[in-house]
Amino acid sequence: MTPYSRPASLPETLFLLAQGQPLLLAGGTDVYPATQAQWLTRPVIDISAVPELHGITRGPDGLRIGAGTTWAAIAAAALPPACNALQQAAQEVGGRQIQNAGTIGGNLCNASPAADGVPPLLVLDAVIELASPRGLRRVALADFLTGPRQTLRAADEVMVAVIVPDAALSGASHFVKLGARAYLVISIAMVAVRLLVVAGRVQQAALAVGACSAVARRLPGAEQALLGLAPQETAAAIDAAQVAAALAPLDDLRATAVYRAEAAAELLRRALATLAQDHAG
Amino acid sequence: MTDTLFPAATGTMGQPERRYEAREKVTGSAAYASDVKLARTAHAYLVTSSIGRGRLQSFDLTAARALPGVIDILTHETIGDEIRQTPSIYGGGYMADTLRPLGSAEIAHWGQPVAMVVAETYEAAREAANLVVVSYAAEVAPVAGMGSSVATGQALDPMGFAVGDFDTAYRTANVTVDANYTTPAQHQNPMELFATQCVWEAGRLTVHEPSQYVNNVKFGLAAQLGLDPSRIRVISTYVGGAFGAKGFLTHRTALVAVAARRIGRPVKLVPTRAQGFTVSGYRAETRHHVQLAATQDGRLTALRHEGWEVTSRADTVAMGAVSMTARLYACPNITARVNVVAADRSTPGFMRAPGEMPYAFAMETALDELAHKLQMDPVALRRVNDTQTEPVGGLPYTSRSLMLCFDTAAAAFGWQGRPSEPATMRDGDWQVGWGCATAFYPTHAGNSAARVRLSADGRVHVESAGHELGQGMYTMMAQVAAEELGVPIAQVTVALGDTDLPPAVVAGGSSSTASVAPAIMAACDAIRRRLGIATGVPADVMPAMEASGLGTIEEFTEVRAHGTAPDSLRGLYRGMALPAGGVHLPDRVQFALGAQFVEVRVHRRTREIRVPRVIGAFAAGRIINPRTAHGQLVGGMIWGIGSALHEHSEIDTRNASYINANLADYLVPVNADVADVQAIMVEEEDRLVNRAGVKGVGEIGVVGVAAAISNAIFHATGIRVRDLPIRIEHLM
Ligand SMILES: Cc1cc2nc3c(=O)[nH]c(=O)nc-3n(C[C@H](O)[C@H](O)[C@H](O)COP(=O)(O)OP(=O)(O)OC[C@H]3O[C@@H](n4cnc5c(N)ncnc54)[C@H](O)[C@@H]3O)c2cc1C
Repeated sequence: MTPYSRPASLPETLFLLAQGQPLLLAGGTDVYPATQAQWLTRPVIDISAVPELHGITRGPDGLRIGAGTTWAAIAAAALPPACNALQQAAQEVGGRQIQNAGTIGGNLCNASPAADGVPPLLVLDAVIELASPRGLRRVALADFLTGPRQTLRAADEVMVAVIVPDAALSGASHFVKLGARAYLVISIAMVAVRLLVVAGRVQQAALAVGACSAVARRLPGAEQALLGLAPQETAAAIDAAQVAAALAPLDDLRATAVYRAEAAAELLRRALATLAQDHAG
Repeated sequence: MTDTLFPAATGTMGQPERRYEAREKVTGSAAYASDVKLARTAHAYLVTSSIGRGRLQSFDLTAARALPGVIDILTHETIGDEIRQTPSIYGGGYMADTLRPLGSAEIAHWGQPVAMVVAETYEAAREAANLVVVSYAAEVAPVAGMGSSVATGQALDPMGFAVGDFDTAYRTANVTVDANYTTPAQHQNPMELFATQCVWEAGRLTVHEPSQYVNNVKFGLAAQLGLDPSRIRVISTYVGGAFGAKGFLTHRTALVAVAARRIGRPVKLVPTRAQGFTVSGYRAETRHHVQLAATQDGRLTALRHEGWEVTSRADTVAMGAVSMTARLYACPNITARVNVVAADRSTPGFMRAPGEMPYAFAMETALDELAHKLQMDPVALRRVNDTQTEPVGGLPYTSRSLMLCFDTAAAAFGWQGRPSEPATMRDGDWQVGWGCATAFYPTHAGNSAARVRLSADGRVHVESAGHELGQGMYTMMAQVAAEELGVPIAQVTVALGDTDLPPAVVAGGSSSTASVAPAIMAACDAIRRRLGIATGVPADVMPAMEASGLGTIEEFTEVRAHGTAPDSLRGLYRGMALPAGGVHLPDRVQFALGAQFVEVRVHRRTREIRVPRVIGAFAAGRIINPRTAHGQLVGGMIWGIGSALHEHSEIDTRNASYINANLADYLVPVNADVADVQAIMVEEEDRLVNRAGVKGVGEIGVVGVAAAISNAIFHATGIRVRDLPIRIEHLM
């Protein structure tokens, strides 16, 4: 039988992590479907009862979301408009049952190119906090994700929290996803956009696209092009060729590269148009 | 409470009574087969083949047997000869396929049950099943499906037919269409899994299993186990969706019965969702070649429909609905043919509108192609070719309200003024298109019996071994008895889904109401006759019942359906009550008909396909309960959206396995994909089809939607898609 433990604190988790090469289990919604064998082969540490991993708090260094926070809890939290995209994504990760079990930490550590949590956190300049028997460290999310299903997480590290710096909590954001049906579906492409509009002009812009490259990306060039525009002008300023060049999308069984670039540009326009409407209204 | 959707009964529309078992269902107290609690139940788990074709070489059961809690393991080596080889329903028997459960070392398809573990708990059975080591020999590359070549097809001559001279008419025609269409494999995926519980008591076997035909299970099991049928009882009080997948006896039931007998305890099996893909039948993939010819004014002069369907090696199964597509429109020169392509797959079966859905997709899309070539409105094309006489045998339709359906649905949709040129309607970045298609479903009925008991206190009890699949059987049975005896429906109780009750037809072919309602009516007539009350007119029987001084009157009647053999009533008592009718009658044809109208939107850049509106109008004779009938039609139309855009059992050609055998990857429409779906029930009186005047609405709602969507997509974009499901990538 596979050894299974359910630590009740972070120190206990770190102690267990130091013992070998365990598998961390949060909501299990990625782990179980991915397990082709009929049982888990590595010792399992179920981190769902570790209090230090739960909850959303506002502290001196920004907004801190415990890695073990479920999507349902994120969707229900009172968060500033800059987190709208994150909360919208939280309601589009699978269906309600998945959102009740699946966690933000699981989504990021699983590092699927189609992880819906990533673009909304990229536009929030999110930073990841990791703990190990060797101590704590922080890494920008953009650096943490290194490839499809690859991250900087060491085998003995547990993700403790996702931190959104105060500076990124300004403005409002929006999330749009595209799949083979309208809901409960793996993304062919998804985008998050965050705009800070001051005196009717875009002062900060953050655009991120997922599922269109090995790792979800910010689009600095396209962001630059939006600065100084009225919100209503931003959708039209999206240049599909520029988006395609920035993404270098891949062909795979869900879509071709050419399609992904076109779809990403379109989704960015839709997200920007929706934000502009909010400003108009 | 006023009810705007379902106003009071008028004409052929009955009372929209609320669902008989609604409270049990919404409170969760309705016990489905796997909910039934039996003392000392042991749990079973199937081991299924991981190869697509070959032989079992050996089993290593050591680790599985050693697991605590394991009681027994059945394989073809350990089961002995307990289960006999019996014919399939296609060979006059009861089985959904001809393979013998755990009958030999031969592997005919991926997912074939090769062992069943029985243990104290479900978890132990599952773990042990995973510890069973199966070695396979002589693994031959399986034939996974239709492949690219249809040349391997075998023609089924009895399903083909011809009238007139197709070749000459086609060759000399003004306008022709010649196109090929395909539809994919699909699975019913009812929410309730294929559960079975068996318990033996004093040599008698009771089976709890969701079934569309409890007497098929009873008599089939009796044949398999060599038992006197009177020793078997099959109970199916509620069925959590079936759609054809629970129609006939599958391998699992005999395995569970044998296991329960071997260990002397009740045994419960609930195959997984993935195992469900091969536990029962499914809709096989099809291919079609359609050729149409018409005069300049749209009159059809030649029609040819040839179909190919995948079947298993063990069984030749074909739905062959050319028998219907060739009879819908007036046309003097017709050729129809059906072929099967044998593959290393489990035997296909019946899935809601089994032949009608795929064959209608081909024919109704071809007609749209013809309308476009003729620069003719698609509704006008159907009108020009409308007929009250089917063109193959010259037989009359008992009633046919097709154009009334088209006109009703077209008016509700706002079809008038539709531009005939494709790719001309726009809404911002969305290309908009409108399409339509004919819906049809043959009217069937089978022999059925019923018993009705009237008590002096005004209570009525109705019994018939029909089946509640969610379609509204309980409600219908209560309602018919209430109306016939003039008592409030609240005083009527119903029992169904049990072989101890008067036998009824299989719940298939949309025939349940058309079969069982006449039997209930006949039993109520008998009660009225005993009380001296005239039949055929509304009456309240209670004053006569009071006056009679009787405590209870109980009447049993059996009713033979039109088109069944004179001696077929006996078949009721052998689990052989199958639907007759449709296009298989010597004197007439019987169809429910309808018209489907669809709006689609295709995004200019992303090519997302959306279906904001579907409106269908259906004429299906008398509607006993507009509420439950409406549910059937709307549900069917939503299935139609799925068949057009989502559903597809994807096959890994290496071992002929299903890649997406789960509900995350097997896509069906979710609520967000279904915007506005309206079903309009058109008044139609048909006194010929059966005494109840009912044509049945269980399946027709699915038919034609996929064609209407593909036609609307053509209208939106100018791109003609002839393969289902239609996806973003088809519209690049
Ligand atoms: C039906 C279904 C639909 C889905 N739909 C979507 C969707 O639409 N969009 C989407 O993005 N995802 C979807 N998913 C995937 C999944 O639900 C999400 O990625 C979810 O957020 C994973 O969280 P979890 O807690 O269940 O992760 P788990 O499965 O428990 O873990 C995932 C991985 O992360 C590791 N891990 C978990 N927590 C930590 C931690 N704190 N520190 C270090 N490592 C950790 C685990 O070891 C494992 O490798 C779907 C899954 C299912 C089954």
